[in-house]
Amino acid sequence: MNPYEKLDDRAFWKLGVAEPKQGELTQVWLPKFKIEKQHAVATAGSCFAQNIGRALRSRGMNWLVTENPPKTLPRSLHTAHNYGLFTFRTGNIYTPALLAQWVRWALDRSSMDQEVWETDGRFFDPFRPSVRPNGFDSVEEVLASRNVTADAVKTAIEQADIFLFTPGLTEAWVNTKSKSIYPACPGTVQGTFNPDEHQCINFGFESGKKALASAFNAMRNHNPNIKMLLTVSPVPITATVTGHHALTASTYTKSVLRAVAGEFADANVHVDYFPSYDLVSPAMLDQSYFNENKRTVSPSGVDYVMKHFFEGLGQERQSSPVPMGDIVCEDEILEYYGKA
Amino acid sequence: MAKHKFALIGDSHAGTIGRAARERGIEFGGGPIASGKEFYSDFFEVEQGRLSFVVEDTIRVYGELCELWDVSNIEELDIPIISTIGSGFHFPAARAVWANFRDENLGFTQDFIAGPMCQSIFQRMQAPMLAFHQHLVEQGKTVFFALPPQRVPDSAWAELFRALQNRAFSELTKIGCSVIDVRNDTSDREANLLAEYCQDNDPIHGNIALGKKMLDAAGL
Repeated sequence: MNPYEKLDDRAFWKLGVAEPKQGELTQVWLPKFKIEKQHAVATAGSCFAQNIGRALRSRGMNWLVTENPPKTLPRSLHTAHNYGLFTFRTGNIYTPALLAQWVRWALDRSSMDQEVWETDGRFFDPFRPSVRPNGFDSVEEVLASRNVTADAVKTAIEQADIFLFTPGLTEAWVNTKSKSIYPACPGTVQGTFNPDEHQCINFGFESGKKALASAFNAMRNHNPNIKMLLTVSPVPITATVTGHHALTASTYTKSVLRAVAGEFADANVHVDYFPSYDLVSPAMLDQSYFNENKRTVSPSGVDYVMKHFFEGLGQERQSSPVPMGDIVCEDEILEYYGKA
Repeated sequence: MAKHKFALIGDSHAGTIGRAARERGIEFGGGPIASGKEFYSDFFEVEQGRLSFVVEDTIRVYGELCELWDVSNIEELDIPIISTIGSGFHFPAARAVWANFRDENLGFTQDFIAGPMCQSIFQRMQAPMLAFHQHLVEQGKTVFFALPPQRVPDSAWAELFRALQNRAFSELTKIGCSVIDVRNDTSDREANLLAEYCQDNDPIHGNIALGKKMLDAAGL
């Protein structure tokens, strides 16, 4: 008997993917560790991770939120001010290197960069350029707000049972002097691009894995019980400055992130990988799970991914304690005022 | 600030009307102040003839709307009010609420729906939204109530959704509200909203085309 003869159907492409007996993919993710409803789950990452936090909340799971909006901020402005998207108000954390930077700042405040951008008398946070659409009133206000977020990251590390991270990019913009990493190229969302100070780095496998290890090791040193769940965003890149075609650049990015996440999870008993990218990205699927822009994942794609997530957790037959319509209606209201 | 032609207040279905009015360039103010479930509890109080909301977020949004309308409270408005408050009938018709009342065919008979127990539950569920509209009418306001898009999500029982809707229609008319009802023009034979009026990628809401039909029906 050879080793393949005793394997389940899921180990074979034909029986597991092309012609599954149940008519659909099953057992795509077998969790390495339990995630129960009482476990506090922190979420961070690229925009796709926003769907995960929302889905956790709608399932009545313990989505950890450590940075809440001030009571004076109308609910209609919460999303525009980046509240309720992730566990804390960092905005998108696209790369393992940016996650490592936030973890370092959270746990060692003396290492936190003090850079602030000014445009037309308004002040913006280079490391959270979209958290305040109209900017802050002063440098001090920017730094105070950044400190609040760093506190929230620290609290999340302390309180989370699971830290769910969804990287999406390998290309990142770095300040050549301070070596700090920006979430977006200066001059795109806010700030002014300076070719002498701003440089793009396309993180590869080794540097990506090193950054991820740095972030997770620092978390574990602070909270020995925390576990990490990695998943790669299936959303392709928006643009590349590498000189490659956007298609090949995106393929490189996702391949590197997938490999980093896979190897890091395989090598660490406290780290698991959930296959968001794998579920919706393959070209041979029966249907597309992307919107017409061929970039963002459609609602059915998000549902499909989350269905596998909750099936993996053994919750496939549990109904949501929060009616789906409630979430839809909240979104409708946010959308209405977001476009007002 | 240009004079508003109407004031809009409601649950998320108000967005359909607001977007249509924006697209038509109609001067109006308002929109949703909370999601529909909030209006199926005691969501407001009246003290000395002045209405106030009880949930913190809603209080804030209502305050913003009053600023937009340039009044200190809704009773001061001298323009028509379009309301969708209480139109989220899928909340009181939620499957989880009624699952244990189904008959042996796993449905609801008309006898059950018309019976005293079901009707008394409906009465209690809809009492706050009816009282809200009654207050506005008693203050001399012209109040339009827009029926929701005829879309029943999987989380709700369609027959209960429609029974609640019929009851609201009847009671609001008695109170003196004008009900905006575009069902004849926008529904298929099964009484469901035609696809051309459905919001994309959304199981509940209507789109701008539906909102325009509602504005037409209200004469706005």
